[in-house]
Amino acid sequence: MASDPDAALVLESRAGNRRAFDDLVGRYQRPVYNAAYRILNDRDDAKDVTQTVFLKAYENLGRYDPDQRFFSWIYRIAVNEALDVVASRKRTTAVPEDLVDHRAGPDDQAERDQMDRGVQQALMALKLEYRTVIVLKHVLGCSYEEIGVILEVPEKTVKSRLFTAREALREVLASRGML
Amino acid sequence: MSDERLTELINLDLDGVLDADGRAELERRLAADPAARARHAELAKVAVKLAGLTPLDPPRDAVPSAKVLAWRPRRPGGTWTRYAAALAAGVVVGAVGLSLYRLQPEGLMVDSSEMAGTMARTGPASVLLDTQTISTPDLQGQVTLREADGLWVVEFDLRSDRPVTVVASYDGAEARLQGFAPPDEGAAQIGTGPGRVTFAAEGQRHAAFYLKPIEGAGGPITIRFQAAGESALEVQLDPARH
Repeated sequence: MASDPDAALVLESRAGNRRAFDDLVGRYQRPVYNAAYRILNDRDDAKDVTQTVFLKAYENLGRYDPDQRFFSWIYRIAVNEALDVVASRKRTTAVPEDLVDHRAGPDDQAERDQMDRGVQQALMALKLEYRTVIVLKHVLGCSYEEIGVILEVPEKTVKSRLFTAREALREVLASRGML
Repeated sequence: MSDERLTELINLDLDGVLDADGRAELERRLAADPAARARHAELAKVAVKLAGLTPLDPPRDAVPSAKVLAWRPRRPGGTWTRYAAALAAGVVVGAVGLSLYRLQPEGLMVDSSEMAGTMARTGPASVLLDTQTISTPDLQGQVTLREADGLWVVEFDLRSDRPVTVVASYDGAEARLQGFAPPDEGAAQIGTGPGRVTFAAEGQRHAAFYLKPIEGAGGPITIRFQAAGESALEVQLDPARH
């Protein structure tokens, strides 16, 4: 943990320093929200996931393994929460891809960016495990090794999944005239 | 060279982790194979498009407030005396937590030191919206819905003789989950999803979760108690009942 830039804040948070935890939230709120959004394609669900991630992190700091990088831990919680939401959607009402997240919001300007939406919709066309690994690599910037830790799969599996995911995304984008 | 090897070379190159030998091998393959060049170029475009995704700013309420984090239920007998002492010293605490603990001081306990600075302000007392009493041979207790400080607080005070799954569901278009205080045993048993909060209950359990109602909305919250292999008991908390 000595090389983890979050180590000091984690230790202080575990000792009850809420300001230290707020600093951790400040560091990871944005990537967690963005990862959740790219997996779920819904701002409200992404917000719910972000809330739950930090609540669970706060409540479970005592169980955090200091040998693990903090970001791996928080991203694993985020991915699991997002996957739970997807599973919940399947159990209840499926949300058609082209109907989600069309409400106006403060970021509507960016959301209207055609290319951005096109790529997001292409992501939504991928199998969930492919979308997830793409998000970890390209939205969160994780290495193969880090993705392996987060998803709890061997690095070899990460590479195989990521390479297949990119190929699938290439095919989707090409079929939509976006390449 | 197999397609698998080409796939690996191209992707390692895109990720910037291709070593010198691999790069030489890839360049030889690309020079000799137009289809490989086209594939490499397209995958590079995919990577560029992904890199160009606009980062979104999370909404202000995307993380729980310090106030919500401060509402952590404790076992009976914990810090009530400290809380009472803080009150006696004139600390003005006006939000939901105070009302909860006043009403059920033997139940949820709060560490006043955690509240100072985050809840120490004047504010409205909580308003009781609805309450349901549970009384079955295996499960007893109360579920209460209050409104305070713009939030709905759904509070559970349960005692069960065997494991029970509690599922609270609400219309996600009318209210958003703002946070929760976990059962005494910690947050591991808490599950959340769109319009749903789930936790396990056995023995004495105190828990609460917080919803932020959408303005002008306010449908009922359905609570189902399900013991293994048996039909569920269902109650509804209606914000408009009182």
